Amino acid sequence: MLLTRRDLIKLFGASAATAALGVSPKAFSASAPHLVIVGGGVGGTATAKYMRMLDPSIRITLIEPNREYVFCPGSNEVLNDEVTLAEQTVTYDSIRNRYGVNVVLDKATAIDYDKKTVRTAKGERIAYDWLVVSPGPDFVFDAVEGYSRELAEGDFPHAWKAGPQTLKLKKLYQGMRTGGVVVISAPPMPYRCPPAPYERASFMAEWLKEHNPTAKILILDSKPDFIFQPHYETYWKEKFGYGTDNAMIEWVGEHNGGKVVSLDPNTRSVKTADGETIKADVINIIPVHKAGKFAFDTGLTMGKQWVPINPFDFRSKVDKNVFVIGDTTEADPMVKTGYLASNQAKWVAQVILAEMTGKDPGYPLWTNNCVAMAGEDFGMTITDTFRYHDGKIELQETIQSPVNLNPHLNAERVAIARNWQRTFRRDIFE
Amino acid sequence: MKRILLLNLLLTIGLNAWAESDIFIPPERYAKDPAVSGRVLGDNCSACHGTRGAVFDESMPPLAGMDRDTFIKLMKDFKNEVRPTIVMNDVAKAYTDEEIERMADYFSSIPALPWKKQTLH
Ligand SMILES: Cc1cc2nc3c(=O)[nH]c(=O)nc-3n(C[C@H](O)[C@H](O)[C@H](O)COP(=O)(O)OP(=O)(O)OC[C@H]3O[C@@H](n4cnc5c(N)ncnc54)[C@H](O)[C@@H]3O)c2cc1C
Ligand code: HEC
Repeated sequence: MLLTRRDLIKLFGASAATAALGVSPKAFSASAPHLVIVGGGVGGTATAKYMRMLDPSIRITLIEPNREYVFCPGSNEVLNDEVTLAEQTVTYDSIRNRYGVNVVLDKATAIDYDKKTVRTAKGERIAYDWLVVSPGPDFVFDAVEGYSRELAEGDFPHAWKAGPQTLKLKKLYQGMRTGGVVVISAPPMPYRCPPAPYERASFMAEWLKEHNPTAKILILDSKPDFIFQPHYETYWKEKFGYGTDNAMIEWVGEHNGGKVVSLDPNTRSVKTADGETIKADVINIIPVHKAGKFAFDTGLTMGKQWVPINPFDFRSKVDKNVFVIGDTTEADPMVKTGYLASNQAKWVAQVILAEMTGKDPGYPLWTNNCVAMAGEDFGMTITDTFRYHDGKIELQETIQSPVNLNPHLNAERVAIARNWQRTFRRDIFE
Repeated sequence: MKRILLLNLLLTIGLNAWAESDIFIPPERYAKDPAVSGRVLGDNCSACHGTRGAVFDESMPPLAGMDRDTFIKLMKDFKNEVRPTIVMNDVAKAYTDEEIERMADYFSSIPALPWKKQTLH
């Protein structure tokens, strides 16, 4: 916490400081430089909090249409009743009251780069000195013929943005007939949280094994392989008869015709690239990803699927006062995770502080230390470190935890994953 | 794929068998780049150890207020695989000794939050 009582006394005098840490955003001088952030998810909210920790005087406005944010990390565990959606949900209270951020409940719709203003759906024009954009991804529904946003909001939830669709998916697969079949269509790279489709299948299988033991989960993959594959396959063999005739989980890679090309909602079936039609009780299509709509509408995507950025400081190539972070960017070789979105945010806050004070921003380093689970008794970790070197982002290190079924190590990893989820939520929203 | 350092050492320890897709480039490659500050390095640890290293939970000890020399000793032991852990060996080996010292300066300068004042949930 950098916004100490001493800082506040310096800024506003002792009486204001008494009321503070609970500081009202209105207390900030109108002439103070203004950081505006679009998107109150992981990247945007981390930017707001870490910017405030670096500087007590800057005005910060966060534009986000929803009153609450539902964390995706951990949301697969809603499916096997291990956590509730409420536990995944946070508010902007701390960001507003403790960090003095002006949270505007609205949707950003346009940027005027010359006038340095953001327009919102309610018709406001908000002037900025720096703009940070973190709207998350959007989905290419028609990459699977017959699929649509409407179907996703109905009986074919993707649940790739945690919320009502997560609960719908849970209701559908937990309520299916005895011996029913769930199809999960896993997307091609890049998409957010590469292990999450397999984590999802594992958690569903854990629940089904107890409540509907003859049910099956068929993962149809648009990729020939996937991250942590040896870990998941080892665990699935041990727990779910993977690779046998009685397997509860089956995985079909792209090389074996796993790619789903169309959906027929009426017969509840999908067709694969090989022309095979597969009927299922529950169909969970995780759609192809692209940059968020706001990034397309404002030209930040520059005609591409993702937002090109300057790899040193995540500055947009369209305008030097605009930074873009999180899932919506093309930041190869970085993967799209919340962990990285939050670390990009912290670095961008440093860069903005440097510009504000006329100092050197220093030099970046980003880590992505993900902890994933396959069940309540199996965990795995990946440690990625990225450096900026020779004008590029370079992957210095990626190390996966070894595959093994040692119950002690796995219990420790699961505990780390659980604690990580909680500490991560607090690191951004508290 | 690049699997450069410590392979033999790791195999003899046996805790860390390398996966096919693992990559490791020793941090010395970046020694001539401008220095990454202790704060930028240290703020990467917050998802596990809490904002500014000041949170503890059932798995992760806090870093804020840690004695500088203790921090350096622990991190070097993690890095050199002297002290086997679940994740910290993999985390620590990415950094040069100078970077570890800069992080030690950062964390030792932050007041520790007494454990009693925290809640787990
Ligand atoms: C099932 C699942 C499990 C996952 N597990 C993990 C994990 O274990 N670890 C991990 O690191 N990551 C995980 N992730 C990935 C992680 O959730 C994302 O990488 C992260 O949320 C990216 O942050 P972001 O800021 O880019 O986008 P988001 O967090 O999605 O935030 C975007 C925000 O922008 C808002 N927004 C969009 N458009 C506008 C607009 N026009 N105006 C104003 N606001 C707007 C949205 O409402 C939203 O709140 C998981 C993802 C899924 C789907
Ligand atoms: C993925 C979660 C995770 C991340 C990220 C992480 N740590 Fe840790 N850290 C742990 C865990 C778990 C332990 C306990 C040892 C173990 O099992 O690995 C630990 C222990 C430590 C300890 C020993 C503390 C003590 O009192 O014994 C230090 C020092 C430490 N970490 C420093 C760091 C630093 C510095 C970073 C960032 C560069 C970091 N950690 C990032 C999970 C993490």
